[in-house]
Amino acid sequence: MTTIATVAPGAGQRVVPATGETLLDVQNLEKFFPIRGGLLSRVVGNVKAVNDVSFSIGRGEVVGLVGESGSGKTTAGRAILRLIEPTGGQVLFNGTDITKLSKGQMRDYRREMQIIFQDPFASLNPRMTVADIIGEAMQIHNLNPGKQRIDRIAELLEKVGLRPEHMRRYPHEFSGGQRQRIGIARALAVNPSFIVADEPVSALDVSIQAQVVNLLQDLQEELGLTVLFIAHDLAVVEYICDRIIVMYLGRVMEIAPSRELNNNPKHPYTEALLSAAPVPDPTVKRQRIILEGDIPSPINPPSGCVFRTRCRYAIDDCAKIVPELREVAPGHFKACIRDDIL
Amino acid sequence: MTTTVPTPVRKPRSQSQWSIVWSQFKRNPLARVGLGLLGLLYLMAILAGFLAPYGLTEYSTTDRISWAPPTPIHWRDAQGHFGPYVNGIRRDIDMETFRDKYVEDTSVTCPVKFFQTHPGMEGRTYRFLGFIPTSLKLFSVDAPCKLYLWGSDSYGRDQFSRVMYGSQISLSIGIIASVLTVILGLIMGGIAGYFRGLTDTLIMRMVEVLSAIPELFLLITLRALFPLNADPILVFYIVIGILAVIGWGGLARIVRGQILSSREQDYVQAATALGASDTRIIAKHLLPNTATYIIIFLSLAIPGFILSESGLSFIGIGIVEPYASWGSLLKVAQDGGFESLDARPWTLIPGVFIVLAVLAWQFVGDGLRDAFDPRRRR
Amino acid sequence: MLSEVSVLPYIFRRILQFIPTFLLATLLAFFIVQLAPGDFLSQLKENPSVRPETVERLRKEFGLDQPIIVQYFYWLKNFVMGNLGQSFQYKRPVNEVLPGPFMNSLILVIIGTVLHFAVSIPVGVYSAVRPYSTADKTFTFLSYIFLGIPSFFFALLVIWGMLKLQQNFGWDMPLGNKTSSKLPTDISWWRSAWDVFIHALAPTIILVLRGISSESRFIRGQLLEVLGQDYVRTARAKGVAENQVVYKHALRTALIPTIAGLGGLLPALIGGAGFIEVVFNWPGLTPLQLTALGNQDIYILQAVTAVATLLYLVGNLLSDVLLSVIDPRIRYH
Repeated sequence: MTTIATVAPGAGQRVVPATGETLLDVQNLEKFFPIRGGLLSRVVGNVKAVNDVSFSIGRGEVVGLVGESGSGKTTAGRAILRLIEPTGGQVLFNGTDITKLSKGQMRDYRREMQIIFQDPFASLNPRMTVADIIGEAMQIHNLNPGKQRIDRIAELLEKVGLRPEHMRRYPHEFSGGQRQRIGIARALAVNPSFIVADEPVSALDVSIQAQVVNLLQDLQEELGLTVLFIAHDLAVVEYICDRIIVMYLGRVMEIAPSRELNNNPKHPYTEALLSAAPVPDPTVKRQRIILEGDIPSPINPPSGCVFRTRCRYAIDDCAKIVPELREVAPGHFKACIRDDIL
Repeated sequence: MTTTVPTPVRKPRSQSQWSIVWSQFKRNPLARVGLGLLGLLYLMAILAGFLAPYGLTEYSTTDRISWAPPTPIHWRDAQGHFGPYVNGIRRDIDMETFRDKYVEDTSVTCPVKFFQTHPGMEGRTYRFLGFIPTSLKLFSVDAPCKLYLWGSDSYGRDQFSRVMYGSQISLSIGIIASVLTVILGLIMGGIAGYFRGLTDTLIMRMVEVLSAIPELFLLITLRALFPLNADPILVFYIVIGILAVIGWGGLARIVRGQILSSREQDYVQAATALGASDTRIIAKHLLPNTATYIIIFLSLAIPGFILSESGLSFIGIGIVEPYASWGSLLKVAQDGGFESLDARPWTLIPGVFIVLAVLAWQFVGDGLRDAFDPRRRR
Repeated sequence: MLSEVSVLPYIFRRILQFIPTFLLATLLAFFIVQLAPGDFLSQLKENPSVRPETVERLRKEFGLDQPIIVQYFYWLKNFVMGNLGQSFQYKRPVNEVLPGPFMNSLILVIIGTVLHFAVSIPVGVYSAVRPYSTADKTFTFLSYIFLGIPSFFFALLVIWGMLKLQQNFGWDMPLGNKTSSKLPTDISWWRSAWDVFIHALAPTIILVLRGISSESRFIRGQLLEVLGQDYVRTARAKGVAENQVVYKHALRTALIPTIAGLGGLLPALIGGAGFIEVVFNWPGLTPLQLTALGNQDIYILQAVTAVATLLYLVGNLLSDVLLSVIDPRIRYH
């Protein structure tokens, strides 16, 4: 799982093709949270939030990471940026394993990798003006000293669709959508090449969602950004992403180009996800696949394939073998032992 | 058709959080009362030397007038002139109790004089604002009369003057001890919350142990550390130190809790993602968010310390002679025994001041708490 | 009362947790007291009225010539066995000196606890049921005052008031001390008990006023919050009588924190009674402690502090246990 071939533009209306060069290579990423219990607070178990996750992203690509709540997608996104320290695995950025870097070494890499958060209300320090918030990035890395800074902040604000005079205001004076734009401006302030967008539109009203998604798309094209777009809404992801990674209970289930995933899913979980997405055409009758049972606990995931307890195609072997991520078509990978379904 | 020139719209000034809090505070009537009262009390403390007709320890060794009642002030003299004056004091024997009693000697009259300086009287010289020596008094009388607005104590010292000077100690100890407590609590709580692990456990265990001993007994025990007859000024600092030692735990817990919850906030993560150093995160993102709690803590701690100091002085292990605090002045009422309360009820007056100061701070504190709470916006 | 998960493991865990705290706290107190100026051993030796055999016995029992940390363990061992040391002032074992004042303080605390709940619950409930009424506003106003007045000042005022009453109306006020000096000594048991009770009344009321003020305001707040909940609205909509709604359903929930606070009340009262005991000349723990301070009677100082701390921790334990019995969620902690 080390190379990604060039991929055709996905279902989104992207014009800029990917260059084929790998920017980010995640290998066997693992994040376990220890659970303490008992009289002396010993470690009695682990929440296996991210378990043996591997994928790569090429320069200029927009890759979607989808899964339901508890799938580990947010944890994975933050672990890649080392906002949460991974408990295992490697993250190669431009060939360097950033998990091994010291804090000082990491700081230079931080300029290249930024994050946009989900909650527009918690992601901005309420005590700082917009200028302070965006300017902090420049302050930390000593960019644009003096008057240049104000100019640059103004430029960034305009780029995200706000006005320069907004820089003197405080976050509580803006709406949710506007605050997300501020967050985007902050992320762009250091000229990163890679951005993790952690459910950037999930907390916004639907009408605003479209605006922000379009903004992200425009920015990505203009600046040639590489984006990992985390979401739980397949429709949004399909629109903007070239490829999509599907996660469940801390593991990768399927990776495929967007259109291909939509038309030709190879994993039972993806099939169920797609069937649950509403289609705005009342004449289309679909067979809804309702998954039985609840999500298992990530403390004690099912043996073998973690999805088997809710999979309608499960067989005995599914409990014994942890399925590897296999390439079943060019650029299309699935983690399932069965080839006779879908 | 006329073209109208659009009237320039005044853009509303961006409101920082602090200005919102201040305007909310101003709208609270009780808070305003509290603030006004505090202003008066602290003004009184600053002007203590000016307001007090006598010095803190001024009494006559030759003509001691112990336990004189408050001197009545007369306004219209025998000739019909209008102006405040007092009569002289004469000692008499009370026929019922066979004890000394002081009555007015109407043969002697002394006018009350305003804005007099008293050169040469060292006891009445004070340092205004700490460095300007002067003996200017708002009002006073010349010898041989005495102006005991609130009576005299067993040495013959004017209680009114002592209450004025007492305000300096009572009101300042509260603030100094609080500032010390805040510094201690911030450092300890900040370290515990940011670095977690063993440091956190140690510090929190310390807080727990300190709070396991009931406050009064801890105060007494700590006071036992130092000789009871230590230098009075040293005692002043000892009291402040003791108060800070028992107080920092509460704030440390609050600061720690705040930091523990703040550091998980997205905007702190964002700062980390940007590459901010630990120092920057603590200073710019974590500590300012504790500011609210620190302010509220201060407004609760100050009256608490005023009460604690009064209590300590009241039972004799706080401020000692020759200095006075409202608590130690109240001790005079207690020491005389129950009958003295009836004979000299004015000895209770310092207590009124304690109540006023504490109530004023409580109003201000409640007002601040409400002003910070977005749910109680007026 | 409630769920299947037993409350015993939780109690066990809490006891386990409070032992180190107790040890550390008494160690701290011991250290501080020992650091006080004056050396117990040499004082004993110099005191002519203390017999050399006594000095020697004490030296052995308490390791008086050993380093401080060793002395602490001697003290601890003795404490656990009930030997609290020797009082320097009274020349008797602390075990003999302590119980009297301790019981006296306890009298105030027990009557105080009863008063605390007997008054704050009705006041709180009434205020919640008729919020913003004249009575409610009066209670709030009074609460502010009682929370702002230092207990010792209020005690002085009350005494002054009683003096005035005595003078003007000739009523026989129980002024100070534990018993009236005017009573003959051979009176019946219950008459002397009543006498003590009357004397305890004024100091106790002052003692609990602060607590009643805050507790009644707290109960008011809690009950108001519970009464605003959806399930109460449902009960009302179903036609349940208002009385039943308030007393049967809402009150139980609202009172949970108050009941849980029962254990914490005990030590709070012991600490708070101090000033009042001084003002009223009530022979409790604090006057004992103060004279011990003045005379550097370190074993009394240490014993009183240790006992007070023990009571505090036991009180907290009680309150946690009560809370865990009432609220099963706590046990899973």
